Amino acid sequence: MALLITLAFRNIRRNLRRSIITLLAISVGLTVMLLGLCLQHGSYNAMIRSGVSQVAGHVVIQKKDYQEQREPLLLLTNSSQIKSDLQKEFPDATITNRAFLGGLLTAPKGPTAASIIAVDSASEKTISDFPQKIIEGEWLDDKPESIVIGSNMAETLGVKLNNKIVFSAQYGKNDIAFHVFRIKGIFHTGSAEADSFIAYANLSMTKNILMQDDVSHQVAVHFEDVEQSIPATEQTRSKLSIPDIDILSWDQALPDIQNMIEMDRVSNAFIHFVLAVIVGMGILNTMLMSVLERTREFGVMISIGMKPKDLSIMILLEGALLGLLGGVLGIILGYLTCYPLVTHGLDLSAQMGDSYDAAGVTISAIIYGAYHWPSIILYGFLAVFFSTICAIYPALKIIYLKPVDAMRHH
Amino acid sequence: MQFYLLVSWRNLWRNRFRSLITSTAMAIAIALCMSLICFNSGFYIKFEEIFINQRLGHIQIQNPSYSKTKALQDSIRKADEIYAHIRDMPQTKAISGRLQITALAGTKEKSAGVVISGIIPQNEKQITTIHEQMQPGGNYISDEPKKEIIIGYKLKEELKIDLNDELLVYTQAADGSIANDLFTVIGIYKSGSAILDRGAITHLTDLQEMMVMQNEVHEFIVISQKSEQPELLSFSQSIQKDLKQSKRKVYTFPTDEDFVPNTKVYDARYGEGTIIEKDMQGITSIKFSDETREFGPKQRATLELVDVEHPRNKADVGVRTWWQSDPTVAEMMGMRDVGTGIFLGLVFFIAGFGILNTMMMSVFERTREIGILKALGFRPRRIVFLIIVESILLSCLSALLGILFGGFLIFLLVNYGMDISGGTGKPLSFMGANIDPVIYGHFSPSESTLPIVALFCISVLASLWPAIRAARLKPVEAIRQE
Repeated sequence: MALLITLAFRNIRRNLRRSIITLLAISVGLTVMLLGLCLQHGSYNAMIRSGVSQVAGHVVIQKKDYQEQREPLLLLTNSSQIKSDLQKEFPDATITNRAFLGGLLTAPKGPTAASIIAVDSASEKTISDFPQKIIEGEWLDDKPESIVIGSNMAETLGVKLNNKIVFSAQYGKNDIAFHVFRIKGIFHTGSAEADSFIAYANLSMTKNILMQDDVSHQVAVHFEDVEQSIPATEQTRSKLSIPDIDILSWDQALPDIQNMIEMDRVSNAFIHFVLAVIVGMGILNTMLMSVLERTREFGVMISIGMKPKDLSIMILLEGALLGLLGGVLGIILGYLTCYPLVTHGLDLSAQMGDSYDAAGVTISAIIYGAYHWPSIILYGFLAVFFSTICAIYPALKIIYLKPVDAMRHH
Repeated sequence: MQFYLLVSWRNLWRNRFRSLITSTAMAIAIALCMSLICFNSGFYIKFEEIFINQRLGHIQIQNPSYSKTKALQDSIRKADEIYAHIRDMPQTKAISGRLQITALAGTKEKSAGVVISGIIPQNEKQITTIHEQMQPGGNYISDEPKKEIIIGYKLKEELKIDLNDELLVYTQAADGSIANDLFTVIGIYKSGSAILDRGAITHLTDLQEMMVMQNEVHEFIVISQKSEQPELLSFSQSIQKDLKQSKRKVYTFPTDEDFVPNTKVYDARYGEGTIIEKDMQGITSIKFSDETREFGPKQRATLELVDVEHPRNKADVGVRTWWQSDPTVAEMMGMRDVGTGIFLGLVFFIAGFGILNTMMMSVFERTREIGILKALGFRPRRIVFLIIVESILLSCLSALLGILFGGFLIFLLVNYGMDISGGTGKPLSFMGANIDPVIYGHFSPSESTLPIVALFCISVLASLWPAIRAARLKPVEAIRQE
């Protein structure tokens, strides 16, 4: 075997120019794929991070069926009790309870529709990125009349800081309920959807609208690391015994984002496959040529006693070796080309605005690439695999080689 | 010439397996690029239909503040004058006025904040296709105002309301009083726009009455006889001229050409500033009193020019073409060729290595032969030519295979479409629109030849190096080589 590897290596070195061109084809193809992969994973990470921090958590507790129906009357009662129970269970985590209320905000200049996210202002401040987007005034305090609205909404309502606005909504068989807010801050994310329709208020305001005390739609537990999501969800499921609730991990709580990522992954895998086929054709060609031009040599080797099977293995090894070298070179090139993307990010804000909106989540338009090592290693292995596959046909040709004919071959 | 063709053909045929593999790789590249272009055109035709034809129209006439604030009171007053005027212009194909309000709408059990559009049914039918997207059993709004309303299917699910039910609408009217009215749900539609599908549509006159906004609209949507950009631009300019003549205060929206160095601009957040430079990507650096900031095309949409006849807040009407009023849509339409271009470039860059490899090998294995040709008095130029002809012949073969294979893929795409949701049938949610996930291709002969042209260029380029090397061979050494 060692002999075969040495031979294979020498054969690759013998026709250096051809090997280098093939290696370049493999590694450039791989670099392109890794670059795509890096951006892909970077934007997935951003999507997940924004989604988890804005509308979900690593462990999400909701009333049964709220996830599918989004019915505002599916409320968690005793929500502060759930929160403190969870805090005991996960002392390091940040826990917030939220209510999502749709309704109408009115000011002298005119009305506008609003989705109010009623939160625990202190916890939300450490979790969400909205507090950092405040351009006027400040984040919520504890008062039930405080509200933070988006910059477009402020324009539509024609209001400034400290102005009063009235929220009206109607749930259940109640009459229309009103709540008077005073504007505490204005945020600007750059996403038209968020800036026009989202507002943050204190959870205590829900009392006036839902006519119930201590209720929320969701209690969300946030950790530093996404990896904690699944085990913590399991732990919560075993510890928390409240009837009629759903306990979800981040991916169950954000199915739209999960779907988007899955769809994107499939279409990218398809494009990568196409690139791999085109590169593979090149490798096949090289291997075939190198076998054909050595026909005479192989004839000699077989006639002095080398087994055709060993020769085939040698050809396969040549393929694998080309793939390995190309793979390593490609990964190094890929790592280097991705580096500026990972450290500086790709700034698309000129094209898309400062943030964009996907599946109801506001995501920054500066995309930081991410090295996803499992995929990178996988792609390296695929390079070896593909080029070995491409060597199968040329290797098979040798088995049927007749020494005498082969030696006559010119 | 015939001589070159014959020799090249024989050379290719001599190693037919190699030639076939190379041309198969090229053919796959061509076929994929062709079908990608076909798919892309299909996607953009759909995009254009949803975003331009239905949402934006060709030309929008709005109160200039409305485009920024979307506030109820920023409306166009004396709307009938403008309507009659534009309707009679020869370039106009259709025009429709819209009033857009937000209200709390619902039943006795449940309500939600909803955007309600007031439209003129007979005019709107010439512009949007909602009347064709009604679910069975329901009707479109009658031509006369009868307090009828049609609602999107999402809103129907959310409010648990059905045909012939009463919809209670509650909001604040333009004069600050409480506006309250009952409408009858006569139809449910599914439009493909997420915003519309969660909204409702009623007769303009009914809505104007409820909101105390007689003879006011928020926007006019105009469809032109000709949809090409230069025609639309001149149409929009003649509308502006006419409006000025009829004593309207017309705001001139700044266009990209206005954002040149030394222009004074105003931004609501940072105050007054001066443009100091504009780079190749259209990003402008603007010096404000505190610091210099960069504005991309998208962020520039809210900037105002300081020296204009009627500033935004003092004018009562503004006219824009679709690409001026929605830079994001314009950007998307502009991206149309960029994505394809990048993919095409990548595929052919990688495919180019294949050709380079093949041509290199075919030159090196013939070193001796080429030496003999030179010894016989063949000029170097003729050898270069011979090898390039060989590579072009190889491309012809690839193109032929590629057209066959690509044609088949295009046939499938055009006739059966491609489901990009991977079979789940979930609509593609994109910039507020729910696009049907089955995308049908659109075949355009001129665009489809692009990959073939690219193939010929790349194959000539890739064969240049081997050809020049061959031409430089010294006959004696070349002949000696084994």
